[in-house]
Amino acid sequence: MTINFDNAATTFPKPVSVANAIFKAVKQYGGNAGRGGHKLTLLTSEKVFDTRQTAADFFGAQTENVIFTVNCTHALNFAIQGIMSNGGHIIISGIEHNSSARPVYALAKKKKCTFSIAEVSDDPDETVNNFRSLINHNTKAIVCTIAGNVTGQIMPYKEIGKLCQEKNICFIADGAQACGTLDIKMSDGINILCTAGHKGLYGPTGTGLLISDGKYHITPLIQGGTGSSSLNLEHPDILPDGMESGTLNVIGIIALKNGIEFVRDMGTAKIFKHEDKLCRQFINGLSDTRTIIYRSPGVEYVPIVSFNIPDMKPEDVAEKLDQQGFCLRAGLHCSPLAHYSMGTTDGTVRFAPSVFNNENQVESLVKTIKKIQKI
Amino acid sequence: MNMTAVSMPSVTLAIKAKRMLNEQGFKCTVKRAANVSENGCTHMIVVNGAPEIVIAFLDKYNIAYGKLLGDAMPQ
Repeated sequence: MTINFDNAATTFPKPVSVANAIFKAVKQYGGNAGRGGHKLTLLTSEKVFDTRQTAADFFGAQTENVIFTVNCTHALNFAIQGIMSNGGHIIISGIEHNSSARPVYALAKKKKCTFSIAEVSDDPDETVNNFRSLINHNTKAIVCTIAGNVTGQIMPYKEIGKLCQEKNICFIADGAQACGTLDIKMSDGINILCTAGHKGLYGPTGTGLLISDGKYHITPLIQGGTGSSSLNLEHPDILPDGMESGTLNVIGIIALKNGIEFVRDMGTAKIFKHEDKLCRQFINGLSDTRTIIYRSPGVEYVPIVSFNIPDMKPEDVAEKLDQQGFCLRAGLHCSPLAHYSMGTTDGTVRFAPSVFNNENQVESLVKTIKKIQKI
Repeated sequence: MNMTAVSMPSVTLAIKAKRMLNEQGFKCTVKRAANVSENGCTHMIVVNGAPEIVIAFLDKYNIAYGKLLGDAMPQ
């Protein structure tokens, strides 16, 4: 028995339609999208376009502004480094994943930008004010996760979007933990949305999205073959080609469409409701134990629960659970900033259900955690 | 029937234009148009419509395009 509760890292299992799409893509869509003009390449280009269109419709973007990346980290790097290519000041939240924090830190270390970290409060208004107070005349961008990957706290991203619009600052939103459970639209004030294809969108690993609203020019980090304007040594500026050098992960991209459709057809609200119910069952089931749950009253969360068992290292808890067939991630979850503010620098164990988990599985997990605590 | 060929800056925009034109009743195909662009490889759309109508359509829907390809018409 193996039950996956580590869906915040990557969802598993995937919908059957995604698996079937991968098989079909391997068998039928063997062209190199955008390269050449023969039947196979044009057919493959059409299939890649189908996914681009599906993603564009799902997030409310123009098709050509949907950029395929290999994961959310790549998307965030493209966005952050591309927007900050001429320097300036950037603000990140105090719960950002290393996929945002590290590129910002690296730019600052090379003296290519300065940065500030906005403290995240349980009170959304206070959080927005914290961002506001850090804006200066040189601020070019705010990078903020829509939902933190350690506790799942939902950030006031729409209000941050409004603030960015008001101040003419680029808002780069990390949707890795939110896309698929929240109804995210570019019209929420997002200039650049970065997300994974393999998490809440149920696509294969090796897929990610950078979606631009077209307002801010993103300097490409990588130059190379695009299948267009090939005589020109100047890399094309036009989207999506300018941001998609080299052969695309065609198979993954084609299957990502089925993942997005799976979420779209079920509806993010229904998915959220199901997973949130499992989170509440998990929390309630452990309420008579000494388990520490990292949630605050009145704060909204995506379906993620971070917890610790007193006097036990998170890694030891996860190992014991693994021995019993439960896959949960322990550690810092690549988000040291969040742990500094939570005072959990030894990390936490993270419970992250997907739409495929059920109440019996959660009940079984709760019993096992109680057994570990000898209750 | 007028046939119009227009070079497109990317295959994505070519397919986007094709699908929108198809929806509006135009017959449109995407083809590779190497040697017809000043910048090298590119894709083009070939549409059964007058040039001025096709260009007006692309302008209306804000779809970036290259140039009219008089010498690239299918024989």
